[in-house]
Amino acid sequence: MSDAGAAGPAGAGPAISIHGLVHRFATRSGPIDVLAGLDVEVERAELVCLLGPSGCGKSTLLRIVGGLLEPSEGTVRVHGLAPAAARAAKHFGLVPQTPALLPWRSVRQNVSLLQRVNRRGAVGVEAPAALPAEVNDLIEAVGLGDFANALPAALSGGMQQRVSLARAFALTAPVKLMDEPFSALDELTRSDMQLLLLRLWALHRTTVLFVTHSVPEAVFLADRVVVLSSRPARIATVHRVSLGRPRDRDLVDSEAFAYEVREVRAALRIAAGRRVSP
Amino acid sequence: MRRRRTLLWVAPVTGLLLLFVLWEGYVRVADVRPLVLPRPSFVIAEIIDEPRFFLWTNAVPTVIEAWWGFALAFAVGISTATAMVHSRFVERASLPVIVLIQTTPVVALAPAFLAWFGFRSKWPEILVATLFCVVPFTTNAFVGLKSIDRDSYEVLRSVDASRWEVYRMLRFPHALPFLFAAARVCVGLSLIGAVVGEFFGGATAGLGNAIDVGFTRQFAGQAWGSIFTLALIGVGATLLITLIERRLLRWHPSQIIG
Repeated sequence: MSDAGAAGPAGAGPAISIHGLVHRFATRSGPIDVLAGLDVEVERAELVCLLGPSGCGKSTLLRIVGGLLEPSEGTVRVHGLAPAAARAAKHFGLVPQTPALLPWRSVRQNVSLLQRVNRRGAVGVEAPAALPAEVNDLIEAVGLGDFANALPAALSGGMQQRVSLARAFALTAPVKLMDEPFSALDELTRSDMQLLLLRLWALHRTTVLFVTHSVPEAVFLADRVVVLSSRPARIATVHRVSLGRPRDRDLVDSEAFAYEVREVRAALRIAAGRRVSP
Repeated sequence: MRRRRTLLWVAPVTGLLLLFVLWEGYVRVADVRPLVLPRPSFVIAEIIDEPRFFLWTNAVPTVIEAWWGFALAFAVGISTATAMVHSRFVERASLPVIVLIQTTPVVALAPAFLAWFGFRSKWPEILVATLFCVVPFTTNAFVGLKSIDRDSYEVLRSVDASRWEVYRMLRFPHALPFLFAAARVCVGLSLIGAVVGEFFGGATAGLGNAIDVGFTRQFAGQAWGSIFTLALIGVGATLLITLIERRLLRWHPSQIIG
């Protein structure tokens, strides 16, 4: 565990390193353990999915990494920085569960929103290595070229979530944090969004930490799937997905995909404390 | 489009006309004394007869008082609410004061204001109007500034947006529909405040004063003409606010639906 990454060039050291992470919430009936000692490292430009039963603390973990929540114990480093410092240096692109667009701003204004905020941070400790994303190109890339000047209210839920993705990628932030961003979408839209995410990710080569409770989604997207147990969450398994890239829509019909899904689902069942065979 | 125009203009005018026709008919049939309840046609004729008296000499002071009361309440309300959302202490400290202002019979303070500022001052009327409006503005601004979307807030925080940036980009725009709702209420309240202030604050001009004098001296035309003029001003101001709202809140569901 070293802090040297802060001074080093992009590409040195892991994107995210988590050691001995413990988190407990104070409640009226005493503290509740949410995270019970996690150790994870995420490589730069890696796409890692956090998978676990509902309420296991996946989102809590994401919020701790993003510096939105102070952990009770343990250390987290993002490009060698503490989460709060990484946040100040604009290292994160957050995609929350809801699109969270500002309804009074057009699609273009929403996509460029985070570039306008906290300008001092953009020239922070370590210049993020991603290419400077042009807002218009991004809007085109997510298929909303004709809607650049539309207000969010004119868009469907799926389109709004595309804007939310574009907003996160409009930042040069090297780490994207995604909290079940596609969970409210219908299946077809969801699979479109997964492909879109993979395309943006391949283009920008950023690290992605993606929370989901869907096994097929995790397998389809991830380099590695981190399976968390029920609360208090521990790391049950880290599953490396052995599917090549680029991945396309047909992949989900393949035997290899089905095999990966079975493996991860079995791991999740054990992690959730359920019996393996029905 | 035609349906829209019908709803926008024809329906309200119909409602108003119906009220006047029923009123006119009742007064004629029941033969009510003009000072108690005059015919609307009589009142409108009075105003047309002496437009300068109603729409200028007496309207201007009242509108000025109401406007300053409205503006002062807005400024105090938005400042207080801004401090409240940023500090739990200020929030807890402000609540009893707000309740106090809300429950105090403000009308009763008018003579006190008169004692503070004297007959020549407009401050008694302005302050009564302010006190009427400050609670709606404060509470609406507070709710609007506070009830922001959690995910939007976290997106801004994830890039370390400052409090001021969160305020400017998220809180304030989110509070605008709430402020407009308060403004609609406060148009009426500020006019009532100014009139009541004139009743008790020793005014020598203004519509409140004209109403007061009119009833005392049994000038039905003057009293009721002033009341109608007040209503007219209220409708005009509300219309103005609706127009501004339509320009600024194109994004809001209240403007999109229906």
